[in-house]
This record gives sequence, structure tokens and C-alpha cells, in this order.
Amino acid sequence: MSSNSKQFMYVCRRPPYGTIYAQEALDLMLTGAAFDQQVSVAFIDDGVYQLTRDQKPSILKMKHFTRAFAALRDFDVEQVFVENESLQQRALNVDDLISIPNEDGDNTVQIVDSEWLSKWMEQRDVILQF
Amino acid sequence: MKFNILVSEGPYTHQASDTAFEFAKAAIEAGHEILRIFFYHDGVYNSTSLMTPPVDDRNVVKRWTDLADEHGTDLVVCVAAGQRRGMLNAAESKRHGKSAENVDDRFRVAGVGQFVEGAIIADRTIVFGD
Repeated sequence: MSSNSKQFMYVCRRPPYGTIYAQEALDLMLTGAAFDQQVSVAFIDDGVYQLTRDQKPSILKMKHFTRAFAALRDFDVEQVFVENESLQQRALNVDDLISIPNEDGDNTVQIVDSEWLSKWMEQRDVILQF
Repeated sequence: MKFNILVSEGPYTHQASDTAFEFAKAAIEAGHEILRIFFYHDGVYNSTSLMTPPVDDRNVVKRWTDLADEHGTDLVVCVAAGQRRGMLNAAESKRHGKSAENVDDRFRVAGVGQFVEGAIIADRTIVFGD
């Protein structure tokens, strides 16, 4: 367990605004990504709103911090999951979400179902939920 | 076993800090090691040197600093989360030209990378919060 390479997983389940958790979680993720670990990120429940397009947080005098999700690719975080059930419950689909292209231009945001995600989680070493 | 702990809620409003303290104390008594306790989000308020609760209530900060005095426990406050909320130690206060400091000196003020590093080294990372 104490090896120097761990599989980290961040689970984002809160909406982007209303509380600071999502914003400070992203700060943590971007810092954590620099540690050269295997990192995946999943958006579930109201967390799926963090990736929605056309946010206008300036109306709330809030910083548009979700733009920085694009920086995840600079740290080789290429496993970004969005839970399909959470999207459906909120009448959202993939077209409502931003894409995070990798170096080859492929979108790293993958829509997965809850059962798949739970199996993925079982194999992670450190799971942090925000 | 080596534990890395994150406290993500403020004192009194939320039980997270109380539960984290009880866990840390019990783990040390049982012969385990607390590698680091990192304070994030409103958890940074757990480091204030100005806490003055009623005499018939627990003093949340004193419990943490007693733990540090007795066992040398590494207490770390996130520098960015702290600055945002006005939690500054002497060095940070001076650097930002402020007139006062309010982080107890048994807490280190450092970046969130300290938490990630702890998660890599420790056998288990436990988050106390919502």
C-alpha cells in the first residue's frame, strides 16, 4: 500500500456554485496532478453541472473556475468520467457538456454508467470526494 | 498503519473536526501512526489561536494543539484556503502586509500538495467532512 505510485480518483458530486467545495477541489486536483500519479476524475450527482457549457457565473460575481478543467489534460489526466444516470436525471446529455480534448484532439470526457463506475472505484487506491 | 487525514469543515458548526480528533487520538493510542492532518475548506478555521469557547464546552483548537504537543502530530493548514478566509500565520501576515496573525504556531501553513504527498505515503487517507 505504501508504494510511491497510487491510483487517485476524485469524485465531484456537488454543483459548481453555491458552495466552494467544487472550486477548491479543482485546486487540489490540479496540484495533485503534478505529483505524477495515475489520476481519474468522475462527475456524479449535481457534480455533472460542473462540466456544463455556457456557464455565466459573472452574474453571481463568481469566478469562472470550471474553465480550468481544461488544464487537467496538461497533467495527463485523461480519464474523466461523467455518470450517465446523473445526466439523465437532470435532462442533460453529452452535448450540454464541455469537451476536454487531449493532444490528439480526442475528447477525454467519457459518459459511463453507474455500475461501470463502481467497478472502477473498487480498483482505486485513494478516492477523494468533494 | 499510517494514516493521512483531511478535515474539511470548520469547528462547532460541523462535527467533522470532533470526529477527526477522536479518530486520531484512538489511532495513536492503538499504536498507529498519524502521518499528517491537513485542514482544507472551512477546516482551516480549526487553527485559530483566538478561539474562546464557553468554559463548559470543548476547545476544539486546544485539543488539536495538545495532540501536537503530546505526540508531535503534523498539523497543516492549507495556505490558499487559509488566505482566502483570513487565516494567516506570522510569516503570511507579514508577507501580505496585514496587522495581525491568527494561526496557532503548532500548525504549519503549507500548500495542498502536502495533503497529496501524505496520501501517496500513507496506507490510508481518511476525509472528515460532508
